[in-house]
Amino acid sequence: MPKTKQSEALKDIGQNYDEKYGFRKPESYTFKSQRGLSEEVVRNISGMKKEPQWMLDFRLKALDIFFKKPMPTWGDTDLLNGIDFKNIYYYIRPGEKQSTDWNDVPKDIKDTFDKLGIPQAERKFLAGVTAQYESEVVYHSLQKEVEKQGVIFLDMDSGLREHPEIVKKYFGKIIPSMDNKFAALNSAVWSGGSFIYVPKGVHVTIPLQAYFRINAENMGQFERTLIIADEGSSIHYIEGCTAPSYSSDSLHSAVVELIAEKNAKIRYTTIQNWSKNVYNLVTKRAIAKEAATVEWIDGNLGSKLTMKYPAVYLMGERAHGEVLSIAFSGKDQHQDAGAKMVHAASNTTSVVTSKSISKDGGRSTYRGLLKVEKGAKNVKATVRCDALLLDEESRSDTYPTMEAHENKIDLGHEASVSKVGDEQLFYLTSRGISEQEAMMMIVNGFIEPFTKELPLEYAVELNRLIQLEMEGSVG
Amino acid sequence: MKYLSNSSENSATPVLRIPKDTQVSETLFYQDATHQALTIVLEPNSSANIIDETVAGEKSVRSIHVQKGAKLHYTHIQRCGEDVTFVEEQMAEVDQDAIFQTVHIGLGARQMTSNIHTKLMQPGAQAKILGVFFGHNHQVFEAHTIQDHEAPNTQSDLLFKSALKDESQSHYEGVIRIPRQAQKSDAFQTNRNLLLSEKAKAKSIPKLEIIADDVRCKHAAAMGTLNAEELFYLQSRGLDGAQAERMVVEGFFEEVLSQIPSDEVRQRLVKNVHERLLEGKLG
Repeated sequence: MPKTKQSEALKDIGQNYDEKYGFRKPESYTFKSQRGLSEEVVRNISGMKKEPQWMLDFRLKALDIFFKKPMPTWGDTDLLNGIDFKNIYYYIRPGEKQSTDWNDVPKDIKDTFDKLGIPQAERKFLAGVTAQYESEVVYHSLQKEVEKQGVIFLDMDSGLREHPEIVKKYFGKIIPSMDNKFAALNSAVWSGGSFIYVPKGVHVTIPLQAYFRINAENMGQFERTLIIADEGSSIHYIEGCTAPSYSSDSLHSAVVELIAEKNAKIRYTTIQNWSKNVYNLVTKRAIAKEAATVEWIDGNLGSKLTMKYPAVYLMGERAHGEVLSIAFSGKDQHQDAGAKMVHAASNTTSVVTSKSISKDGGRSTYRGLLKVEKGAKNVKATVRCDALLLDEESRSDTYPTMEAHENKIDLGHEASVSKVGDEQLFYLTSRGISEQEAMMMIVNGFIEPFTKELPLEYAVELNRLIQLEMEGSVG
Repeated sequence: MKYLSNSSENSATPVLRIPKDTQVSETLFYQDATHQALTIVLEPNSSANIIDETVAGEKSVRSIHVQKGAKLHYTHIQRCGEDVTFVEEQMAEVDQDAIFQTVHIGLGARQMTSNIHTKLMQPGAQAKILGVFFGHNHQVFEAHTIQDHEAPNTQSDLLFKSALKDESQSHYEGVIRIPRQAQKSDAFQTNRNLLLSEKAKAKSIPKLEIIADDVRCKHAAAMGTLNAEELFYLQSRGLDGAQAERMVVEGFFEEVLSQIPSDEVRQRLVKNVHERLLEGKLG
């Protein structure tokens, strides 16, 4: 196919985002903290939530670290330095009380979910839906059998109130405030997120889900999620988000800590589709103990700049870590994502599979670390990155780091960058398929290893999102 | 040495210049510890094999220009004493339809740093960039490579290998850069590390920065120890454990050493590798 024709077919893809996906409801907040960050704001947040003294101390210490730490000097520094920390709300609380019943969920919030296209029947079917609307969880339900199994599934604030002993034991232990500037920021002003504890030997068969949203201009979202899977248990947690678009920049900076005890299994699935003005700077890290498995399934579609490198620290023998990710970068987007695998024990294994698609001048970056610590023998690990460039304006970068301090290991990394083959397009169009459809089929095929790992309703939603991105003016 | 001149009036750098349309059939050996810098120019449609060996000194600075249609096979061998810190700087420019092969062998020095920058300046330029490092004792080999595709229809293929005994270390960091104008380029980059001792360390950062979409670009990196199946196979053929290990390591280097255009030099290097393998014990 001639180049011009192809680029014409691609031209409209990913346009009209605002009309198709950007929507917002009028704000109705009971409390809105001042813009900007200060000790007073942090004290206010902690006070509003009636937190114990240790949490206030933790926040204040983190705030201090945040002020002292310089901005990262790597990654997309131009975009990072564009964040105006003074112009952000650090806490908003919608409605007074937490809803326990679907009927109590405010109407405008329900409307928003309707727009997202989540069918009523499906909502009821889903095990536990924590809908993060603004900075706090407004709707929270847990299916009876899950509750009966002894599983704790709360928003983080309730978790802190009801299970302070567990929270204190693990909170900030996997990702200390010192870790990076944005982890420090989150530690200072966190609000909402999920707290999950799965008791020994319990298998949660239905994925637990949470929807995240941002709905106020210049509003930061600083969720804090902590998941503990006790010995021999298993859990699948799903976090998905779509956000209305706004004119000025929004900051989203979450911290997610996972602990998989001996023989436990955690799968954490994310589909991130923030509107294209959001900074999504997230720290995600898991500890896998003996024979435990941790899997990060990570889809990045939205945001202006995402910097996210889910990590698994393999601390016990025979632990296994996995990251499976896709990134889709359209106009004015930079997806700087990757994975970190740190092998600190013998006989551990890990697999990283990363797929990225760049179009309309978008930029996708894979940045990763694969490290074998001294004393970790018989380690096997592979990293595989594939990048698809859909036009000559777009960009793909690969920055993997591999480091070994032991020799009885087998580490491999492979990456490729290519475009959609003319032969592939020609074959499909000769079968009577339109160019755009053909392009979409190829892209869908490219990300299939990712989609097939998602639960059905998410796979459908993802396909719909990709379709919106790829479809452009058609229909 | 023929073709070598002590350069222009305002520069002390000697120049090795192969005139236009000249095919030099014998291998040219360059060994000069007094000058750290050397400029190599292959004028259009000329060809040459150059072997450049450093056994003393601290630095070699090489500026290479392979002009239109020329062909250069260049080999740099570093066998300095293990009390020095050695820095190798190489900048090569490859013009239209020119072919450049560069092989880097690192055996000596306490610490060696190689900065190998290859620029494919015009369409049809091709470069093959190869390197082997064999570390023992406390040697550290650091290599930084850049493959810059400045023009469309250019090709580059890089392979750097290191085998590490004792407490030696390898640190590889390389980047392929394909800007918008360099469509229809092919670029490859591979780094392999063979860790022969528990105390050896390796770090590898192979990077890609790609903007042109109509390209074929791949990279790979691997780290590991001797393959147990290969060793088992050789032992089943009657070799003892140590012999089998040596044979696998020699095979690991063969891929690069076989590209050196002089039998005499190649055999000498194979012997060097063999001798180093006989010291102490592997594994």
